[in-house]
Amino acid sequence: MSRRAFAISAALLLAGAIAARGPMLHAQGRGRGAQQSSAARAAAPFDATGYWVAVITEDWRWRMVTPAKGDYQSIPINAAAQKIADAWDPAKDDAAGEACKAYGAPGLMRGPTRLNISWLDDNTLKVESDYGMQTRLLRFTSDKPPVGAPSWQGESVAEWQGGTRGSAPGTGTLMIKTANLRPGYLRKNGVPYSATTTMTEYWDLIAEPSGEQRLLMLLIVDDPVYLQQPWTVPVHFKKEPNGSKWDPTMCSAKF
Amino acid sequence: MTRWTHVRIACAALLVVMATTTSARAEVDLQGQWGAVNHQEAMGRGPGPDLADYTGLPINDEARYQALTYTAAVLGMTERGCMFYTEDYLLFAPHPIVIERVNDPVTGDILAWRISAGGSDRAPITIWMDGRPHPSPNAPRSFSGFTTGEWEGDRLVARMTHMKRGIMRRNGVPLSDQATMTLHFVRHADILTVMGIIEDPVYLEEKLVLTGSYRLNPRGNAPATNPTCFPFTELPVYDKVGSVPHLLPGTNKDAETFANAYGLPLEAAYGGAQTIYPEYRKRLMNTYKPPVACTRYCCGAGGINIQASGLSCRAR
Repeated sequence: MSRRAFAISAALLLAGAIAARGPMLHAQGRGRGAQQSSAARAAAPFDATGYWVAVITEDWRWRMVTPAKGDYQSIPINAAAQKIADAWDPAKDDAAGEACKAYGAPGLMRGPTRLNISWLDDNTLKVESDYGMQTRLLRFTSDKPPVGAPSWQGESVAEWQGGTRGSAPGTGTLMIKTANLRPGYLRKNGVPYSATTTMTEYWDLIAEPSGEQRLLMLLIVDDPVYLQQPWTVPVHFKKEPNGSKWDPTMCSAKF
Repeated sequence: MTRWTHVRIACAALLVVMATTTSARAEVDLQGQWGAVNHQEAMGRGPGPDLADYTGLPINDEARYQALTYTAAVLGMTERGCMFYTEDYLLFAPHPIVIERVNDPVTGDILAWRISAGGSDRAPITIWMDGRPHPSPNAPRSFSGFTTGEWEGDRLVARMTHMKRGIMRRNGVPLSDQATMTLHFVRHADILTVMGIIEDPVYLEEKLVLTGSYRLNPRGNAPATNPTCFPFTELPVYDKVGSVPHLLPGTNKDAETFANAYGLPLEAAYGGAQTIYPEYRKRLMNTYKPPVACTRYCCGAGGINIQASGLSCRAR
């Protein structure tokens, strides 16, 4: 074998080995960043669009209804948060035009809601909720989003991790980082989060042999002002065949 | 041999490399000590749920009926002291887990993953990865069940059958020996999320989906293998022959305690498939009367030292 041919062979083998191991590295937390931002829709390793319903099998008493004032169970709040939550007054929130405080992204994603997910354009996934009629925009871009006024849904930057269109089932995660949030509530009974809060989400598609599909979302809410440690909670949605059960309701501070 | 022949050989070798690394590249390392992050259901996972709190469970009338006849005193019986520890306990227990990779001693291939219970009484789950078949449907049930797994992309999916009769909540909601469970292990950085989908043709109206998250804990020292629950008499009085703690139908004094404490209609407290979807809220709008203020179990945050954190809310 000539040296040149040997070098070509070796280079091809090395490139192949690296290509074969690539997805494993992504699975350990490395994304593809700007590389995918020009074609997020085309590169999607799974289809997140459609109607999804929250299945409330956990924390039912805190998610399905508004719990009693002072009920902070499971959330790692600090004393500053407790002070604010102890003063929670839904009538005051209503009067101040802040009935949507529990419908900001960190509260919304655990709410009793349906989601309608669609592509707004090739690089923006739109997530609408019927609960509180909120809209999140997940932008696939490596550019810093324009910083506007803080809002209930904040600014979300999304990225596909560990898969491409046509990947094996189970491959690929949607990672979302959200910031620039208007201060709101993690729970309907006034458990606060501050303007410094960031939320990281990992969305995975779970496809069952029966054909049912579920979205498993891991939410990590980090608030150095009101939390002792990041609030880390999974939540799951089930896919519905259509929007026949879509039922938009306004924000309510009380129920 | 010409240059192009070498290139052809190299391409063929490349294809072989890619083909043989397909399964390996799909794997994510699950080994290690994983601390439970109990940031939901902290009371249910920790001290335990209220009696007759079946919220969020898509159970049927039969399950409800049996659950209402349950008394925790039954655990005092030697022969029933382990009844909580069927493998679905993983999905509502507070404990850390230890995950080990079991290698074939000759080939080094992965034979199985073993999910231990971090010192609790639950027997380790062995997830066989070598393609062995499940036993006959008529084979005996055990507390360990029988589980096979495969990688679906970056997730380990494990299917468990042959579970012993047990519970699906620690207040006596029954799980039948016909139940099966699919576990999805999904790792993101140092967080592992386990999603369990339980199917029980005897006691569930539809699938029960439960989730839990764990954080990789390099300083964890939970035992890698823990003993399966072994029966012993916790309350000697119940070890007398002929004494079986029970509640006859209609005699459970706590049947409505939970619902009343939290202002819920009994129907909501008793669960059922219709109660776990958002549209059920409409039925609660005019019937739910929340307490004025929380009076018990108000903090109960997983892993938080209430006193050290300066919180004054009631932890109990």
